[in-house]
Amino acid sequence: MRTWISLVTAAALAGCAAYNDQCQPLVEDPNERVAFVATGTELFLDRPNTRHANNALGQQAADALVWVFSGGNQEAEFAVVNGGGLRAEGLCVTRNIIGAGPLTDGVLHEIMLFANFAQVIRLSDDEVRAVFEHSVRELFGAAVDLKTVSPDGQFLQVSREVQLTVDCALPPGARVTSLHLGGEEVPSPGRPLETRSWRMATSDYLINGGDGYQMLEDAKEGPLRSVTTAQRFGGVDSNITAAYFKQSTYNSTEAEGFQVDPGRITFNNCAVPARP
Amino acid sequence: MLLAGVASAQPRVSFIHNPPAQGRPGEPLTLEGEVSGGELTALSVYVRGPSEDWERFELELQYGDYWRGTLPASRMVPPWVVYYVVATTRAGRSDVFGSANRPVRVDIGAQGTKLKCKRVKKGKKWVQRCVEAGDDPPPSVEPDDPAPAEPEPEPEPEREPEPRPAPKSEPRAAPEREPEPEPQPVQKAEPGPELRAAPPPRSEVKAAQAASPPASELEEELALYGAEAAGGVVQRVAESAGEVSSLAPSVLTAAELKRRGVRFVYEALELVPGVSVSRDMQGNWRVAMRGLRADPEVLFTLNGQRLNNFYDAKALANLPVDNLERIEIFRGPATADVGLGNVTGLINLVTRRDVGFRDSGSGGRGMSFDGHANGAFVAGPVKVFGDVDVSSQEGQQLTVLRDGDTTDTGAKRTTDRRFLLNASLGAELSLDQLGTFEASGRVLYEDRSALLGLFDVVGPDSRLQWLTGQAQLGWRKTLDAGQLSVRAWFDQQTTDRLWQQTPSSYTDGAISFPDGAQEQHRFGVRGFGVSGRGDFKLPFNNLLSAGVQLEHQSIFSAELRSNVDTATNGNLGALQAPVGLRLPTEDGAGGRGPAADRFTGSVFVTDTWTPLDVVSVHAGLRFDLVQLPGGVTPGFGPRIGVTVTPIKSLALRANYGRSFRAPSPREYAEALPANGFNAGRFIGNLSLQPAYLDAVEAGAEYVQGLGEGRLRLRGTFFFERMTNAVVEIDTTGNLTPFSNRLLGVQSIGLEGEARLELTQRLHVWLNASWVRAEDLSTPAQSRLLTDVPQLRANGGVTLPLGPWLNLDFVARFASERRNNTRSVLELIRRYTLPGYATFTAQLRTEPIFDHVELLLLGQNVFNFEYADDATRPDRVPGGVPRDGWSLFGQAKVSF
Repeated sequence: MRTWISLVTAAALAGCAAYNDQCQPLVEDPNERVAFVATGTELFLDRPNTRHANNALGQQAADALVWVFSGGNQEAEFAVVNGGGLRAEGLCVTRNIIGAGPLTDGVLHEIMLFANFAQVIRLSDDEVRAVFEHSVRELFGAAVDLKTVSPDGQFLQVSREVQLTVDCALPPGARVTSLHLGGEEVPSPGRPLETRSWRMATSDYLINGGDGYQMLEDAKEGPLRSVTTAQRFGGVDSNITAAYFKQSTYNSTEAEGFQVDPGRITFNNCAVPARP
Repeated sequence: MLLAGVASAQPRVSFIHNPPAQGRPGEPLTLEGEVSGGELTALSVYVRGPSEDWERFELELQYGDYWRGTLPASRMVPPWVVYYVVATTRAGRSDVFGSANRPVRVDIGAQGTKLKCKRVKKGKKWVQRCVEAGDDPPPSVEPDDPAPAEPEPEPEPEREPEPRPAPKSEPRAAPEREPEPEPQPVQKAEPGPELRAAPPPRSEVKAAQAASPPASELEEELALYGAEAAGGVVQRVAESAGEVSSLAPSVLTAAELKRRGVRFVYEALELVPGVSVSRDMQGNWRVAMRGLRADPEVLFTLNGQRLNNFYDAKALANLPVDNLERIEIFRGPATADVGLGNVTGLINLVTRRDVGFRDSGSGGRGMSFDGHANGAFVAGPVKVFGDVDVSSQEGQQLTVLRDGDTTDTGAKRTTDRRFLLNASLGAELSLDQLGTFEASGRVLYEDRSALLGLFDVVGPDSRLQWLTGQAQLGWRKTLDAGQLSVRAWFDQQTTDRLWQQTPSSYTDGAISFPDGAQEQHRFGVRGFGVSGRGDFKLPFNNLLSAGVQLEHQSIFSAELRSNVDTATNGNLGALQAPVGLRLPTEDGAGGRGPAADRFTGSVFVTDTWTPLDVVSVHAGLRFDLVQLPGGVTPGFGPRIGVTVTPIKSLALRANYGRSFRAPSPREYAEALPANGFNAGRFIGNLSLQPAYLDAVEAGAEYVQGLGEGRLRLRGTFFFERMTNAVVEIDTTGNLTPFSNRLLGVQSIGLEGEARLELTQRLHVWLNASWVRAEDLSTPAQSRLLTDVPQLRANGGVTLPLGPWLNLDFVARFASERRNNTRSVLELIRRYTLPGYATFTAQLRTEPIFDHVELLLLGQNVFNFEYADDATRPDRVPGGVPRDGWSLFGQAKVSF
């Protein structure tokens, strides 16, 4: 009886009700091109490649955060984006690989699915180091097959200002062997905040302690922190990245498309992800 | 809370009625018809036979605008009776069908029987005496004074009663929707097919006598032969369109509620077009009006006094229907005299205050037991009235396959335990010169469990308590040219809600909660106010109403405690106030929170003008000054409506209204501990802006008599847009503040109703609604709001089964619901709730020995499984289950 009632009801009421397309991201023109993935390269979006290696899109997203704060009174000196914020699963289609060619706004917003706000915060030398130590804390050693484990989303993709070297053979908390921001070394032990502070751009998710970044949540309410939210493009990280792409040369030709910069993070004794 | 509804600013009343051609001796005579153009407190018929004084009887509201009554058999004595109908509104009384000087005549004799009539002298009067043809001629009363030889007067041709210079735009009463304690007392006879003569107040008797001075012989003859009922199926006594309202509320009377097989208010609301009802995880009932759902946007009133809690705008409105005289539902903004809170709709519950005593008891599935009683008595100028409901249930325990507690993968169940007490007592004193004074008080108490839990985990031991106290004082006086009224009110609500965020013995790794993770909310709110209004009849068919209202509401106590450590999500042991949490009553600097108090001053003015007989125009303006966290904020609420009656029985309406929507204190200042169990809940936002709803509506209504029956059709088109809509949209997965949708939301749709009444006990009704709601701040492909059914249809039939039994059958249909897509999290937390159809069947008796009624009710008789949307559909994929089949038995006694 219930099945019959359901079928009759559905037939009687069908056609007059409309529903949203659940596979479309929340952008006005999902098919608009925002950038090219460079000729001869591929963009890998599986977990090992977003959370255990330099990732082309993660790096560009971090560069976009620096770009959105430029020209203001709280310019960012560098930026980080958590690898867990880059999603392969999409709304309806899983994309582990995006080949060379156009990248649309719709696909970008499916990858950067969580619409977080971009913020900048002042950190001391020690706090910056603590951030990067936490980033690499859960990396696996060279002997581990990354296809059998799930790397943590706390790993940070970095902007071009960052030169970071990590050694996975060292114990967690002491894996950062070298850290330069904008060419300047971040010393350890670090200088007081009043002496030298670093303006780091990232998402409000991390600043509120997401992915275990307790040091950021502890710091944000303190004096001199000047936590500021981006005002342009609604302050949303995915919108900022799209806007950054569209005004860049990455959107000109495929030859000028973006690709991974392997020099930002140097991995020693760490597992290397394979092609998905 | 000033709530003088549509009727108070509406044009005059008319009674669409088809007088019976003839009556039979010794058999009751049914009088029935439809009222339009106003809000009545009573509809009375004055009847007399030859040379008799007028005797008054009351018609009873059946449903919507349809009234019916029966003259008792004892009244139906040859040769004839004459009658006229009087409507009583807040503004006074008016003849609506016939008059004392020109009443309607009903000959009394066997059908088709010819009457032989002869004038004879009785005392100083000449009277007419009739007998059926073939009987002996009637004797002369004064054999020594035979009737003069007079020619039989020519019967006048059938015609409609001439339009009379009816009272122009009488001030109307809006009793049932007013926040005032009570409209004029309805001196109704007991409900039932037979009317009993209600002793009219002395002033009314005098008025009736004054209206019908002793007739001369000639006048009496003219009255007899002039008051012929016109032919035609349906007639309008007063042809002016000024009688028809530009708004089209739905009214469910006590009789209709009985026929629809509903036990509580929300079950009744589900059967109204344009209204959708659902339950949330906590067990709260939610109403969506025309596709838009938010507690602060639907105003619930009980006898005109607001039920919505000041803090979170929820209303303890799921009351039993047994003591209700009617439920009035307005979709969209009502008239300008309706107070703040009426944004997308107004639902007014009106309790019974008719003289007599009625009680009932019922029991059924889910260990459900109810008792109800209401009554009123009149002693001279004093009327005392009261009602009481006691309701308890264990409820049905329905399976919840999965929830947010991943440590326990076993099946869980809902808990729908509830105890409700609703009691009221009031009195009214009517003094001829000083007016009418009224005082009443009410207590509402509810103690229930959470249906599932606080957020996304089934917490079976939650305990939610809610105590409401209301009091009202009122005075009103009818003047020659209108009416004045003053009202004062007070209400206080306290809630104590202890939530089990997890079940007892909850563990997750190192975290252990033997008593479960708990959170307790305690709030106390209080409000008081005073209002005054006047209704004035002005020249040129104008009715002017104006009023002022002052109100203060406040949160007098607020407390929140939790046993969850916000830093570690560990167990704190005892419940304690979270460190650093700023309650809505606090500003962080030792002072009162900016949303904790709200003073409102309001004025309104409305005018209804009937420039032509077929056109009526209503205009109104409401101005509010509201104390909000951002400062004193003005709100404007214009209204305009036009009614046109191009032909008889057809009314065309159009209206526009704007409502001001202030965010609730909860939306401004809700504070929650930031622990792992609360991720995804909503917190206050002091930066919220008020919202406005603009609504346009156009519709038509048609009534057609079909022999003894009647057909009523109604159709409405609407468009609503909410600017700056206040919404709760999870964008982060953390504690998310309420926000404004700057581009607003809108809905457009159609509603239709049809009702066919073939006999008093044979009815068929059907209604349907379609709505398309959109969030304009979302990209076009994701804009539709689909968490409320877009299509609804309800229908029912009432059939007599012999002289003593009635069968009612009701069906509800709703289309599929899906998740909204206003944010990424809404987009990925998908759900689909299939369309549903439920059926109700009810057997009930006619009154036994005039006092007892029995009823057997089956709800969802085919046990259709359906559910409502959950807060976290990704964690509770099955949704919030609704009740399966139920069976109840009830007995009612009335005196």
